[in-house]
Amino acid sequence: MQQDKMENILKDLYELDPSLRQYGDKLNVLLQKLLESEPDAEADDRFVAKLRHELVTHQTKQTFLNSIFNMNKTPFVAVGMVMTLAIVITASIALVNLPAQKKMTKLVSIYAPSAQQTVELAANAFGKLSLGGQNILNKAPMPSANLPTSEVARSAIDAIIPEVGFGGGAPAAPGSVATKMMADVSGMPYYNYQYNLVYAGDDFKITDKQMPVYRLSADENIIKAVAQSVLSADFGFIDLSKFGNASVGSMSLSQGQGGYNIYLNFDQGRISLDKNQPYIAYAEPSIACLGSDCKRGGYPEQTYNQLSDGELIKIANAFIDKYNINKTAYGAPVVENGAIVYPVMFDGKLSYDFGGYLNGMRVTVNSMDMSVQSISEIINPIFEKSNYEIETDFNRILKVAQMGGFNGGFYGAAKEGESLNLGTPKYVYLHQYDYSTNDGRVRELYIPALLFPITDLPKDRYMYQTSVIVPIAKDFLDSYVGNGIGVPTPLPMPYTTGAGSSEPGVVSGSPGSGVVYPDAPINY
Amino acid sequence: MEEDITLIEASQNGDNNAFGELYDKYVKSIYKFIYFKTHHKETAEDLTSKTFMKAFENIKTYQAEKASFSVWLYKVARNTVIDHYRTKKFDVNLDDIWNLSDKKNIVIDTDARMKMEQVREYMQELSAVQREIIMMRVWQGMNYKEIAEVTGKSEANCRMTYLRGIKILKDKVPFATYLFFLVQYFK
Repeated sequence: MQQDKMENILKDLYELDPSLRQYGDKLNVLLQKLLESEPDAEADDRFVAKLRHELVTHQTKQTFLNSIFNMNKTPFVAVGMVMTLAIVITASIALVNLPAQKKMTKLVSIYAPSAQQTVELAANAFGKLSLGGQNILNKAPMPSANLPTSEVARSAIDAIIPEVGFGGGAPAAPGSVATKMMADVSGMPYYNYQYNLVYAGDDFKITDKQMPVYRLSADENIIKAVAQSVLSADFGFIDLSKFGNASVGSMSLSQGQGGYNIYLNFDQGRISLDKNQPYIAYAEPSIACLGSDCKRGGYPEQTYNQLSDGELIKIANAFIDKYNINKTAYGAPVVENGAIVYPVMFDGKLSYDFGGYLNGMRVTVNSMDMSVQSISEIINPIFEKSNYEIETDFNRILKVAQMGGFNGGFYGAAKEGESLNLGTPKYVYLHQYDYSTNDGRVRELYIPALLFPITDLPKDRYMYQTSVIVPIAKDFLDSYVGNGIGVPTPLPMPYTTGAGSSEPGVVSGSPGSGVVYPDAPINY
Repeated sequence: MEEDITLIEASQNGDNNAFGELYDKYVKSIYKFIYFKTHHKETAEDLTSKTFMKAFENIKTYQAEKASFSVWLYKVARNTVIDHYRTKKFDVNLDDIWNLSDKKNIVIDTDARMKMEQVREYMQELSAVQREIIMMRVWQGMNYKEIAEVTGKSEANCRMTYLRGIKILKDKVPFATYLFFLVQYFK
């Protein structure tokens, strides 16, 4: 192709000046050099798609005027329209002349769509999906060796307590549903053998060869606009405006006692908030005071209210509506482990994490005063979408499911040989963090997956996981099969040979008893 | 170009999707054009955005009888790049990235810089206009009519400028390089 191009250029030059023919060899050299030095100037697909979206949804003042005056409305409605128009034009003119801080408000509102928006990209636009760099155990609680039973259960529960935001989030409030749950469940035994997972569902066929992977869009304009707003402020003791081209990674705001802390993570495009707890200082503030007679500052003791799921959802909805939190990315709320979850949805399918828990906006309610305690994972519902090849061999996927999915094992059996049934899977999306981007920003992917429900959950023990999820994007599955299977699973908990429970796998006995470390099973 | 006219008329009547289709057709070539003048991805993206936003905002002023839509877009892009370098307030008159000495504090993509180095000494011998016309002809494959409309010169002038530029470059090819390629050719 380069040769054809050179020939055409030469032909053109000889037509302009036939005497150049005698320099044909030199011209060949020159043109070769010129063509080789052509910069690689292909526009990035994401940039192209994003700019297109901005252009197509852009509305000029003129377009707005046209849409008003071209509407076929009765006169009394037209009067209202003219009045609205006057207000809008005035506001638009005023906004143009506002300083940077107020322009940012308008900029942000442009980028918050009224419905979930997706920007279509070319296939495989997010690069190779792979396990490398993924925090697959992010949400899936694993039993931790060397902890006593109740602590194991507690650590599993802690792993599923809703996140309340990064850096400074409050723990579950006293009297909240979450703390009550911890108290109830920690009494249940937890076992450490692996279950055999047996497929008991219907015949299942995967017919689509490609399915979309979604990625939460990271909008650089907002972080630059916010940074500009801060940089242009006059602090008096430092000139921040000299730090041009800065962008904001994160920011936190606080309303003080009784109000909310708000955490804005611009890198990931999400907001969390949690309520400040009131603090009461007692007359004797000495922290060195020991013993039951000492009074110390602490939370007031109150009883909590038992709230139904419906009541919890009502409180959450009221808060979300009051603060105009955009719900368009989410499905209907459900109560899961004491939190009200608004699950992210794509194409009618719910989004989960590896542990089988719904992924989405989480609201916790303080059931003492029945107010919203925290909300995490509030996102701006703009996503990028790119098709990826799907694994259509159901048996291959089933094999991974029967091994407990990407955890490499499904623990909790009281003894070896216990089995659980996997039911017919359903299509879902698996939420994953992608650390592989080269701009230092963690991105969030939603990968097509199959969720296999466990249909015969035992009632006599705590089950930290009630389903198995297997992502079916081929890239991702291939990378797991290459890296995950065959790796020895974590050591089961040690048990003692002293007095106490004779059940293997359940830690008991007093300190000083012989401690036995069972052989680690290896899965293939 | 017939289909362009339909889309342009629809855009001028407020159909944003029609403008989107025009955008699909020309965005990559406009981006390339701007990238050849800036050699920096983020700058090229920024200026491409500005180009299309300007085109979108001013679509009603476009007149098909005066120039083709692609030429009109290239003109907007060219002016956007010129404005970009002029507002940077360098102490030299900077038309594009080739004018730049290494001491200037401008970001260039590493890959582009390496490729640029191969031909920098040649390209810097040319005037900005000669350089621009050669890039449009050799790298972008534009014909003389299009080049003339974008640059605001006559077709004849563009041909002569291009020819003179190539002749200057031809004389710059070092004898050693010429010999090397000659040997490769006859191997």
